[in-house]
Amino acid sequence: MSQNRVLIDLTDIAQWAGHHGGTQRVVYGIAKNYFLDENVSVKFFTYSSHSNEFIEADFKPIFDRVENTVIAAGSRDSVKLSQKLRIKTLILPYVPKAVLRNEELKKKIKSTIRTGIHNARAIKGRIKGVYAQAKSTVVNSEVGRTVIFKENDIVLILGKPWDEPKLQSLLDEKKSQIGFKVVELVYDLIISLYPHLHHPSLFKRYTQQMFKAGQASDLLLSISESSKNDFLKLSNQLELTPPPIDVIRLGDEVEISMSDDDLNAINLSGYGVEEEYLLCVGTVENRKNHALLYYTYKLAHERGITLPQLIIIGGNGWLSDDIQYLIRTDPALKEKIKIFSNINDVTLAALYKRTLFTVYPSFYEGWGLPVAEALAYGKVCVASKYSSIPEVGGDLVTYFSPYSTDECLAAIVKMLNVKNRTALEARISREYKMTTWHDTYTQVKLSLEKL
Amino acid sequence: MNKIQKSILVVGTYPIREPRHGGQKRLHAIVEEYKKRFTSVTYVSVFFDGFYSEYSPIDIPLGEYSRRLVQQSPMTGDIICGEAIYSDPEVKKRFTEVVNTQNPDVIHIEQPYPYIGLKKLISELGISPKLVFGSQNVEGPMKSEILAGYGTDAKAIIDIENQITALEEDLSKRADLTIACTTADLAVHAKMGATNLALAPNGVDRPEFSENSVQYWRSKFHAQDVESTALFVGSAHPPNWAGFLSMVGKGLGFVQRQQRIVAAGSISDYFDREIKEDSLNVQDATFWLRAFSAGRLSEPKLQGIIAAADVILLPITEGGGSNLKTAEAIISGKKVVATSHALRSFEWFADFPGVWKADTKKDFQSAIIEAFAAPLPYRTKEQTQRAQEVLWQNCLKEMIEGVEKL
Repeated sequence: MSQNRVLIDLTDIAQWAGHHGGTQRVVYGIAKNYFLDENVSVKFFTYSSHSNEFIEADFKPIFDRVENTVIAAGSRDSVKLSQKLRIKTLILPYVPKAVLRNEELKKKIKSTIRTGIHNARAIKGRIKGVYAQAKSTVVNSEVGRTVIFKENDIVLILGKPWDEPKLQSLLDEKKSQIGFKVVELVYDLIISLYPHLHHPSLFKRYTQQMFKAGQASDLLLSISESSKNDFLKLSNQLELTPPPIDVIRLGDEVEISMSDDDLNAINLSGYGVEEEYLLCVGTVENRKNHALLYYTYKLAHERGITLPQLIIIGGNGWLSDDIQYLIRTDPALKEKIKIFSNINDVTLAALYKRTLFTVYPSFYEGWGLPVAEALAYGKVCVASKYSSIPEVGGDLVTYFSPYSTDECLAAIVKMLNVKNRTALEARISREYKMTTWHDTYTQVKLSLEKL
Repeated sequence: MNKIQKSILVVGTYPIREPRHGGQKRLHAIVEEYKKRFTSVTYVSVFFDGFYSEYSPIDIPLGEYSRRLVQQSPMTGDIICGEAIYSDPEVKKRFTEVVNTQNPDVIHIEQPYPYIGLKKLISELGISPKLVFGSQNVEGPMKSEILAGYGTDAKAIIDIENQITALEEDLSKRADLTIACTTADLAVHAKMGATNLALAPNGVDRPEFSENSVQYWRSKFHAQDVESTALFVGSAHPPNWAGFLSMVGKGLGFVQRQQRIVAAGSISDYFDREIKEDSLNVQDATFWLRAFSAGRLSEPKLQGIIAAADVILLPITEGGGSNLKTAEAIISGKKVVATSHALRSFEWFADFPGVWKADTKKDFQSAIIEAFAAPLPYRTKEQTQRAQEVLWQNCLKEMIEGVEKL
């Protein structure tokens, strides 16, 4: 058992009432396991930008909120479908067929439903805001005292301190006064070292945060060897002596309580999804390199190679307008490649479950969760060979250069061969071991015990 | 001590009423030391008023024709000023009046340029004062370096360098006494033909600062949670910036949270202009977390920031002459991190406590880290006395004795 008290920063999740994104999932996954471990001394806190103070926080309300949401989302009754699917599967069956045959009426009905959903969303958003405010008041008022740090404490920062630039300054100040230890998690250095792959608005703030974290931390945790190496590269450029860096593996457990039968029952054809398709999951943005997939499909078309439909799942990201326009308007490919956003977890699970295999052409990742997810679903993945991606999949993934349509096409064609694919699927099933958040927590705990 | 009966006329190419740059400070100190020792001392400069706005009634601004020449070629302004003594009728008339009024026993020519016109004027006036050549640098190669830095045509650079070298050789041969800042420069002038030589390294005035000015800076830094500063004082002379980049650099990750690298003087212009934290460069984005630009400062403010500093940085990697900044650092009693180049003529200072000599970026940065952490240096009585050698009165002693003997 660790002798030191661990204080975990919950700023990223304490006031968040919505669905957890990547960083929040990490904060929650690790904090939850600390919370559940009766053998460790742990406290939680948040940063208040209003008073520029660290405030004690209670994890329990967050735990209850998140776990209840997960349970609800997993139950069949509350399956949340995307708007298009919802219209198609839940509403249109109740509309008389005669009406549906009239295209104009059909359009009007769809438009009315969409307006209704839009308005409902706006109301839901407002309710969420009020709920979040009320919830945060509860979190803070339940505990609400300024944190009193002790010399032997270990302060663990797992979230996005660059969103609160004064957080790190206050932490540095307290540390120099009290002498506790600080451990921070580094996700990636994309913004600082590969600025062409990210919107520039965060460059200064993020780079300054990395600089401060490098100076102030007694230990850094990195989510991949690739990110660790990048941090060392940044340190070198900044003439900074980095603290020790331990690499931890993030949880990739897939928690879908629905059975395969249930997932197979979800009507994907309503989206225009064909029986056989490839799947690519990730925000449509410059860095994720969807353009390579478009040109690979063009190349296949030119060579007379027939590829299955490609389903891209991801929201609109930076510098993606051009490629989205190409994909949506190219007469040769607009039915071959489909892009969907706002897909809920259950639909996504169904898409994973029924895909032939997944593709992931990203130029750069801090980790590469979609690769891990594909493997966790037992699916083959063909992916970019750069940054952290090979760390995720090892030799269970078929790699290609993200700059080469030839290599990408060859990898896809290879996995379209049933024999190749099923052989690899069998290996994935045997060899791939999902990482649970408890596994991640155990690694963090071991690292902290070395301090 | 009684003053010696001698009339000294000191001639230069810039006024010294408000000495700011190193050359002005040196010349000001020379005139002040002459005044202590000789009965009549006059300083006159022929200068371009586009560069200097503060001057004495006796100083002679260039006439219209010469002004236009400087505007066309600012880097050769000192050559034009020297020529103007004879070729610019307005300047010649006023300069002749000064010579006739002062009737000098000795003319001290600071840097070789005034000699271009003065040589002809002396001959025309039929006078034969003793000449002292006050060298600040071996000018030919230095001018060539500066011109090259401004992208001047290579052939023009060679012409100008040859012209200046010929002038230096001529004056070295003709001068009754040649003084230089370093032994290396003395050797060059000896080779040029100088026979009577005296060493006059650059020095400094005894530091004078008010408690108010020190407190001003301490409060300013305290408000930013800064406990220690390493100060780099310099002019916007390109080699100063180049020296900073090659020895300290823009990556300041080795400077801790409550420490700052501070720039003072017109070198701050470079810092402000060159390092924009919103450029997509990781060093630029983080530089100002650990650096502070104090800007161009009045003398009291400058003395205050030096007194408030913990460490003085001398990242000087090129340039001739001895460095005034080094002398200022020595007399300050502060911890000092310097290159070997900065310690030229002050090599003895390298053995003082609280002095780090470093000639690579890595070593220089390590030295800054050590210096920040080190206690205030303690100097023995002998070391304290030795440090006084950098005061002008001691630096110019050999020169004064040499002039006495003329």
